Amino acid sequence: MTRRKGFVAASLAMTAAAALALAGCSGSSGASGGSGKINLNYWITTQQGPAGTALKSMVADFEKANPNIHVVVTQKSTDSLKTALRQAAGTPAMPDVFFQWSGLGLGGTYVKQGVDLDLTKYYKQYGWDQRFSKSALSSVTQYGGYHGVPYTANVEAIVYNKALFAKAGITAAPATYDELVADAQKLADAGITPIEFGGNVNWYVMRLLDNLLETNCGAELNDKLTALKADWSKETCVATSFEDLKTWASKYFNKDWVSLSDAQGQQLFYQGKVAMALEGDWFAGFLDQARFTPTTDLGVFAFPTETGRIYGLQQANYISKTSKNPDAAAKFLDFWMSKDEQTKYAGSWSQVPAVQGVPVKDNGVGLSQPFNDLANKAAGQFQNNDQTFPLDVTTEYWRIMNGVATGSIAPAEAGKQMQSFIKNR
Amino acid sequence: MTASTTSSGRRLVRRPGRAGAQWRAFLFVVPAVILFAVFLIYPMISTVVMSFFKWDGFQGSVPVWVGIQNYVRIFTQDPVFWRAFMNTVIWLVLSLIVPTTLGLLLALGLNHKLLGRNLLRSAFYIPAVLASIAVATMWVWLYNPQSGLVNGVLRAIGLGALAGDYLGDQSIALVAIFVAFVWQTTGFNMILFLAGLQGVPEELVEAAKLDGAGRFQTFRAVTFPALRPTTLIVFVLTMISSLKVFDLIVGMTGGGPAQSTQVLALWSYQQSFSNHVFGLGNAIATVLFVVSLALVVPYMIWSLREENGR
Repeated sequence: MTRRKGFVAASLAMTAAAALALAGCSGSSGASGGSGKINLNYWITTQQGPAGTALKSMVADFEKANPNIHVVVTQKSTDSLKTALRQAAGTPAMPDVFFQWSGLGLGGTYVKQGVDLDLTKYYKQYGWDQRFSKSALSSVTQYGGYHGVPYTANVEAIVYNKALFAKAGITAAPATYDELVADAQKLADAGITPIEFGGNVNWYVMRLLDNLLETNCGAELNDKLTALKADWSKETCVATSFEDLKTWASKYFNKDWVSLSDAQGQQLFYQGKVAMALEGDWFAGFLDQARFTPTTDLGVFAFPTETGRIYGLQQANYISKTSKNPDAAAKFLDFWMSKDEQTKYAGSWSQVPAVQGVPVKDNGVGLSQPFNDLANKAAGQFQNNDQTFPLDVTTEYWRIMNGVATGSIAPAEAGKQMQSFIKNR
Repeated sequence: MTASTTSSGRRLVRRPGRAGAQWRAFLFVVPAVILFAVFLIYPMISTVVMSFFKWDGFQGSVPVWVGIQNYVRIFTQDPVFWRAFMNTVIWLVLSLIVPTTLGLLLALGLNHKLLGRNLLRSAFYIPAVLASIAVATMWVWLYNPQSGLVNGVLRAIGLGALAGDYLGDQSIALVAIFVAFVWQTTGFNMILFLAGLQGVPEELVEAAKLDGAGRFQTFRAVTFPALRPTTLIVFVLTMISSLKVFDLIVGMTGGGPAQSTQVLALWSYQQSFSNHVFGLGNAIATVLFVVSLALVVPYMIWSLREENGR
């Protein structure tokens, strides 16, 4: 009897272990459900605040209007989403619709892998090519055909404190890069920190370097450099840009910027201790939350690259090639990006509407319209380089950028190191 | 009872319960072996195998065999690998010296009867039970150049010249993180040494004192030799935790500024899961694995010999 009990206990232990192992190996149930009702799986980064609330409400609106479609929204952190998409790409586990930034290094990777659907058919069916702004549309047509449906088309520029500018004797926003540098010097001379950054998130300082490259290299060459089609070691504008970066970091950044987070850097702007912040249109929301006063002190101007292009980033939603319900997925995206829904939730996802004709909704800070004006006035757009580069190149770009800004890499060496990495990858 | 015949003609007689007992024991071991194989052996082998391939992490893309190219690249072209390797070595060496010595000194001090001894033991041990990421967050605030306690205290005691951006200075950022590591791990070493000190024969200590040995001589000739097994355990555990150091660095600098605080474990992770160059990431993981084996295997051989010698 005792032996039998021991045998049973051992067998149970083994069965439990096997069950555990199998449970760990089992995958998701797939993209679509049965029993006549369509389940649409949608993966996106975690949406917080107004964006999260609006997403939930919009999905409810859609399901009410389309009772045969159920949208299952899965929110993941940025890195988790990237990893999960790579694992699921090309398999039945891939969601019907997924979110990505539309640059070459992110959304472009999925297009290159052929995991998303060319939506030309749906663009014709729903008239999407007439619906979106030029900037938003350019992000989904850059790979040929139509890859993705625009979600946001953010622009980034310099938000400044007019009162601090006036205190330093500056009466107008700079129109050229030389004027910007001169203004930074005036601010520094007046004892005001010209611009804030938080260096422990690499993408913040990167915004300045991206703009310096556009300024010094011009639009065409900058595009070639960021597409890795020009030699970083041979272009003198690259060394000039890194030299400028070093100057800005050593003379015009806030003290101790290297170890500060983006939020800690921004705090200095909210407190009126720093005159400028290189930010996106979403910064209006941050200023509102920080209760910045008086808002009449706030102004915005494009980084004076003198190329006519505005700096910014776009996001899109893609339909998977493996989706069993591409029509329902397209219907969902059409509903979401309809003028009515975008108007209903104006300002929730972006201060700059991706859909034409949607009114700009200011949150009280007074920056939404100026950001929109910059977007409308621009001759084109250049993107944040962490969207443009492949991921490993971005990591190296940040290393070199931080090395130059903190003095461990000579500006003249930066281009050589960058090119060496590109060549060896 | 069963019987069988060997090649020499001798009859082996098996007792009825023995085979059953072995079978039962085997069944009890099988789940652990399966889990060990699935979650440890298989990933280890696949890590080594993947280090010879180029793969971008896409399920649909086929890993491409590149031979030793990933190793050539990390050893000769990767601008971060050697920095990460050296930082790992520095971390290992410092770990074997600083928190171990401090742990021993604390244990020696708190082994004596003194007021609030248990409270002090608990206080020194508490950091060891905190999650590393929580420790990292706490120390980031302590080091905050504007409002952190470290700079505040330095300024308050007239050492304002020493105040600075410790996590932002490439030359000292690693040491600044290491201070947090010392704070976190010293208490654990102290507990191990305290346990070891309870095994030091009191009569030997008394005999040494009767022979006229001073405190230092007693420690050198009696206490420290008796602590040898504990010291070895502390060293090995420290070595293992040093090679695995990851979360403190992620939480405090993310490997920056400019990869100056990068270590092998974190660089391997970032190459695989942030940059999605899995071949390189796995090659770095394999190097770390080999380094770990080179350090830990001698200990295992030694401990087996000790075991057999008893």
